[in-house]
Amino acid sequence: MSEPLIQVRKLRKAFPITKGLLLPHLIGKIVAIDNVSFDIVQGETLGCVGGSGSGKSTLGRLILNLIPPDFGDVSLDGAVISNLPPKKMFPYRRDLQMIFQDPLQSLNPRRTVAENVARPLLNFGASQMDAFERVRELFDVVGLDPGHVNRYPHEFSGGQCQRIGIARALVSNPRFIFLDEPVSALDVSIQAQILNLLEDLQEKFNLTYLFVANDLKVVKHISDRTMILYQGLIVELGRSEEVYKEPQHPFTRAFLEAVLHMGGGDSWQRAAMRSENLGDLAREDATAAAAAERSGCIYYAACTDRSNICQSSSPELHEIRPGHYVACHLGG
Amino acid sequence: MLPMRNEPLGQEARAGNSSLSPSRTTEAPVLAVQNLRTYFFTPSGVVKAVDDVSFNVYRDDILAIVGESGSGKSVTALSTMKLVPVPPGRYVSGEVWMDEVNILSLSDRRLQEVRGARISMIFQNPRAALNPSFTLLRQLTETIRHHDRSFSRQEVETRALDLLREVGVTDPAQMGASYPHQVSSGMCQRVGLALSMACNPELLIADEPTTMLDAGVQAKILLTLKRAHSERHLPIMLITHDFGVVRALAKRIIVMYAGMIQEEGPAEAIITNPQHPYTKALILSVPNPVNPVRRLFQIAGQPPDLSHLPAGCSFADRCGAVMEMCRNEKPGFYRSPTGSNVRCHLFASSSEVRQ
Repeated sequence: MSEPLIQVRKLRKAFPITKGLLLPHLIGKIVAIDNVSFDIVQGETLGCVGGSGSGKSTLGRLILNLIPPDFGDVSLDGAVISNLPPKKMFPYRRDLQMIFQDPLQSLNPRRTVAENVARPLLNFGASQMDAFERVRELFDVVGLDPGHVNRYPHEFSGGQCQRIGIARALVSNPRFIFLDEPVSALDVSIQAQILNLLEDLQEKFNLTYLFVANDLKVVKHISDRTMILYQGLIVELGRSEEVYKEPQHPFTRAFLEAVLHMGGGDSWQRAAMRSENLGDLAREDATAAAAAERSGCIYYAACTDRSNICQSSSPELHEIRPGHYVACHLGG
Repeated sequence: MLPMRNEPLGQEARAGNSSLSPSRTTEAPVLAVQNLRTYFFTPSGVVKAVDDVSFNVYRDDILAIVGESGSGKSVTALSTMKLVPVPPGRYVSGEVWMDEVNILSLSDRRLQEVRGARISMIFQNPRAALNPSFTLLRQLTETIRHHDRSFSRQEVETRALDLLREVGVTDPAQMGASYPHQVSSGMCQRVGLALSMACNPELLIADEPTTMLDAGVQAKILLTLKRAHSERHLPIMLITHDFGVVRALAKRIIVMYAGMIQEEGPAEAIITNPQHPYTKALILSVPNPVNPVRRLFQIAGQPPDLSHLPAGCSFADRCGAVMEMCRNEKPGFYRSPTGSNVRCHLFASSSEVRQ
């Protein structure tokens, strides 16, 4: 494969938990992303899945340098961009874009969609005429009627609003797009339209995607490689086909089992029962667990295959076969 | 336990049993919806959200109503409890029978004896369904006391704790003392389920109960629902757009589009062998990890505007098998070879089921 476009090295981000209204004091930390390293190759789609609170969205926001990391860095094409002050970050901004979950909420309701979509270009000094010309062009590309550019967001359906969001992300000719649950708010038939559109655009503009979602079916479909996050750690990373067919980490296996299939089967029931037997109920609250002390394997409490070593030392992410990484002592 | 429960309500008692559907004769349904039309009267026209919908829910049933947004599935569910805001909504025609009572004819006071007590509901956003300023236990005891004042304080609390235990809360006393914002969404949904079962309802309506939860939690909530169904013999009407959830729970399916039932039948038959072009397209457009395709099947276009429905079949514009007559004539409801009932001209040679 070609050169990595995005390099993430030893990235770590923790959020403080404070108590007290007038005199807040620190009572703990939630580790959202813990010592995470990976590359995203030019032109690929890296899928990222995990339960709620696993740090998926935080990871994306760190890569776009929307929030500063505590440690580690992110580089775009070899240049370190994390911790850059806004002015120095500015030239990189047009290369990095984002598509949001709620298409309507991510658009300014008081501006026409043309103004919404053209905003990034105007920020980079394009003239209003050029910018609007480009908006009309892009409306055609994403499958909207260029005649509708002067309407307001509420006049469009959810699927159309997501197309507008996509047009806005494309307007500055980005190289990398972070997609944060881009189809989970959409209806099934519209979901398929948007997923197909995203794939077409990737091919057409040689885009690189980080695709975050809860729905493993969708991630599996669109991603070349899949990364499984559990409480801020990468527990498994590999080619989607391989991760799906031969999951190595116990969490990945449990996660895959819990997914509901249209083909039927009751693996989800086994997964639910096992998780109940482990007294895993409190862990539905993933953030509470993430705030707890971290020693040994993060998945120890919920793991079915755990052994003594798992309690004392935390496993490193290691390559078990070319391109397939697992963070588990019992690996492979 | 709950007064008024099984007493016939004199004036609202059913006049006759004129329109029994064939299947109804074998077993009395818990809920019978007949020719329900719920329209919304808006400045831009009449929105036919539910247009002539009839179905039954039986004692041992998990009936899934599947559809996309705007298909009328939620309005159907709300109509069965007479919860649609009037105006702008109006029940243009139809009846919702529960035993000898037509729910749509009940007064607001009488409705209070049905809602929560005989039919209860759990919602998509479990946290929003709870009151943020009361503890979880307080909300449960309040509900129990509201419907039955004969219990002592102590009895009510014991019942509330039992309910929490039943929905899988391992430490009810401690959990009950928490406020909604202190617990996870999965836990909120469990409490929502406990609330809905507080008065031993005869029917549970679950409106997208797991849509906002992640896969692991979803599986556990569905298992809890399944247990409630089998242990309490509680019929469930499941409103969802997710065929995975349908496959996991449902025994029968109703597929809705543009306010009408397009296909109904046994869950297994419809998922493995859908007959209506819309059902087929809907199932095909979900990514299938076991049998991956390079490109997803997509249904072209948008769902129709419910205030300006086409003269013929409402799916005609997006249908791959559209014929000339589909654009001019409304299709009837026919029996398909798999045993499902389909609203489609393609099956016109089969026997018609009902209007």
